[in-house]
Amino acid sequence: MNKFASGLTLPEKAPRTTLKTEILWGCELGGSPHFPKDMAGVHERFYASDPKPLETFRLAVAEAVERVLIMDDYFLMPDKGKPEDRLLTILGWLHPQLVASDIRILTKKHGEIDEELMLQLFRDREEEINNSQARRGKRCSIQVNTRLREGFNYVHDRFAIVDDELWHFGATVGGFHASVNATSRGWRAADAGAIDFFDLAWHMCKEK
Amino acid sequence: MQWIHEHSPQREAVQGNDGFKTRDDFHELMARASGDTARLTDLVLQDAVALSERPEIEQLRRLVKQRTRLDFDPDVLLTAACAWALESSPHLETWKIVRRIARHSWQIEHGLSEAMAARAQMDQGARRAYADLATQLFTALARGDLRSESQRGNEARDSALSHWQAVSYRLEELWWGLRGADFMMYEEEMRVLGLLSEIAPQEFQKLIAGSNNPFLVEAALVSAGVGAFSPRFAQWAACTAAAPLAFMQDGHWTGSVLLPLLLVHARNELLQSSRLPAAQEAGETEIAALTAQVTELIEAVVDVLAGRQDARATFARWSTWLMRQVLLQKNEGFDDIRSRAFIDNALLQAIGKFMQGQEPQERPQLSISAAPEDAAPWEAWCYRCVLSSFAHDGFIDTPSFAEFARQWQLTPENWHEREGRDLLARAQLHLPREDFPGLSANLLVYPLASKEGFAAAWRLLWDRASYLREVLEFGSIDAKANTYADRADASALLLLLGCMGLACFDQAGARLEASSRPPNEKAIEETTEAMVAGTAQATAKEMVDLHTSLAAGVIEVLHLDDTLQRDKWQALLQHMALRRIYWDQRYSAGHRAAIFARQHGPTIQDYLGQLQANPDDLLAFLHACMLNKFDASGLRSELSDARVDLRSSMDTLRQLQDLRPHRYPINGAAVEMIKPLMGHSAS
Repeated sequence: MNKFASGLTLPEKAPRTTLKTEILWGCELGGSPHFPKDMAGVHERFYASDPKPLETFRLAVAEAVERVLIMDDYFLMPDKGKPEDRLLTILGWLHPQLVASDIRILTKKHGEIDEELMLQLFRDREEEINNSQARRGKRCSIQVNTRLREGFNYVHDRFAIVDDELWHFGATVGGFHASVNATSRGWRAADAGAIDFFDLAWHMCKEK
Repeated sequence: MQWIHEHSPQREAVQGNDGFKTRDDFHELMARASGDTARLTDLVLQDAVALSERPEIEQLRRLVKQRTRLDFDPDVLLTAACAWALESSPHLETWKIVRRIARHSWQIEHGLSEAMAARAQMDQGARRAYADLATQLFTALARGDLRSESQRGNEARDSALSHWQAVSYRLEELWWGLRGADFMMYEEEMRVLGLLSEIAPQEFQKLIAGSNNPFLVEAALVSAGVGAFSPRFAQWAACTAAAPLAFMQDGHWTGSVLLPLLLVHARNELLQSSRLPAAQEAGETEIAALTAQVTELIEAVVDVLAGRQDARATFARWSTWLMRQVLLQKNEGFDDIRSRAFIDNALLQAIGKFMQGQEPQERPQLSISAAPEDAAPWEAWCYRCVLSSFAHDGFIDTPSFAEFARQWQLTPENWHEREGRDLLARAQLHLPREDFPGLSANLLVYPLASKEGFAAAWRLLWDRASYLREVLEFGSIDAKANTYADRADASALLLLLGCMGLACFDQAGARLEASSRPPNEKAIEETTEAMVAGTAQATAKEMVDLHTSLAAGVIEVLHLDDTLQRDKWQALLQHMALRRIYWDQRYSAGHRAAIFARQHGPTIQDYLGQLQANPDDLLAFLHACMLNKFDASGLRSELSDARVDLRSSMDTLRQLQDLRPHRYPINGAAVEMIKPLMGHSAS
């Protein structure tokens, strides 16, 4: 059935930057390539009132030029502290000068989070991004879907795709978790089929 | 005929496990223990019951040694005792006792069906008793009266059945292979059901034909050697031939789960063959041999189905599912057994051959207006793709395009009502991905593309969808807060129409290229050269018209669209530009028929003018031109005439990259490749 092929092709887009795989552990310095060195390091992180997220991920999101796709049940729900603080941290990453247009967060519903308020805050930020940049080829779209459990309850791990790069998280996306956990990055999202997979999950979680 | 797995050495190794007692072993034991039969039977029927609700296996092992002097392993003796007890008292209560004993011993659990098979071979009465018992077990399981000894097994059954009751499209659930359900939830009774299929095949067929519990039927099929552990083609074929009517003449599903489950098993077996390590690592000769074997199997599967009374309707509904799988793959490699779509595509081709010569009214319509109530929303368009594929391969006449076209006539009133939502739901699987125009667009547009007047027909289709362009530009009132998503939906649907236009152009181009090749003898008899030339000229003229309409549409959308679809529209524009050059008389000379003269609009210069607004788009496009081996000196002149200063564009791109390397990447290989387009001063 490949008789329909015209023979004319466009080359695949080259990756934006050379990706380098690395693994990072959550720590109070904002991420480290090593396991905690001793119990003091483990305790410092474990008992931190507001564990510091992964600085490299924050930077990647803030500098994204195309997409930020997140699949994680607990991305918006901290295990310590208030959900509003987590939300404000994430809104800080999605700053008004953000270049990326396709921001999608696929997560689950939490009783502790005021969903209407949360969605309104993301909508306000979306509007701010679109209004504060004079020339945008594409409007920025921030979408949050809280039906991951209902629509696609098949995923154990947590993932993020920032532009062409796939990030794999052992715990919460962004490295917020206080227990010892690692994040790996540097995988080509397209090669891994990550973007298609995210789109599949997103489609399955749409309101029917 | 056998599945490829049936003669795999791995399978023999599993069966040849020394610890596994065969029916021959039990033949010997039972012959030698004939004097102890009654005592051993009583051990199960009386002592085990008397012991407690949960018989202590150690106590039974001691007792069994007291009842016989034979020097056998006590668990093997207990297995024989259980088989005798079930023969003497083939009732549910006896079965429950035996099942409890078997739960405590791997040997009894796995040897029981072999012991029963040995007795069935030795004695007609035993055979009858076991058949009666298996029938009672199946019936009790189907009614939900016979619960598992395992709480987990019971929970799995309840959860699977409640999911099945709640599911909207049950046939689709069957096609998916009952995802998430495990047939092992009926593990305790499966071996007895397998024995029934062996000793009383007709009774077995009757039982599974009468049940609508898909999980139980699936467990029975697996136990009977249709799938999973020991699949046998002969068993599959026998069950398929005997399965009750699954589809009515008009394509409705009768609700019978058996045939769809058998089709899933057949497809799984075929898919397994193409995924064997041998297939992945084999040389060309082995691949050719495996391809021939699998192709023969596929034809055998279709032959078995063709013998059924509901063959046409079965093929219609199954081919729709197979097409869905094919559409998820990239439009390439379908002839390679190692590719994911080979099996589904080959099954479709074999079904297409069966349909050859049939009148349209002889097959179910399954059209949008006549879709069966049990059909999922995606089926109508996938079935259209099936018919287009069959028509393209010459198996059937080209289907009508009218009903498909009518769906696009949307209004402000119906966009958020059923018409608009249905269109979105049906289109979901077909929305363009990376491989423009894509297999879906090609198949959906085939009925239009294969006939004269395709350019005007596509234009009409595009004009009919004018409301979608309004939604894209202004949004719709009914979208409320979701204006952005609403506009993106409209853009995605328009993009599918655009890709269908591009596919239509490509298909016409392929016909034109075929007509310019030396005709074969048959063609010479049927046509004259003048006729061929006349048709070619008309096709070329239509391609020019289609290109003009399509380009105008794409450029219009690019002025409106700031949604996430925008990049795909840019890609579509580049595809159009590539074709504009490919079919231009200055670039096609000597290789193929030309359709564009220099002045046909949009001209190559118009495209270059559009693309130069974004230096990275211009670079990507010129890179594609070089990869497609377009004449560099001609392109250089076009750039110059279009006043595109390539050197300056690349300098801009470099400056941008210096400022924001991540935002403005430069493909070094592409820059190197387009150097010949930069003129003489480039070095």
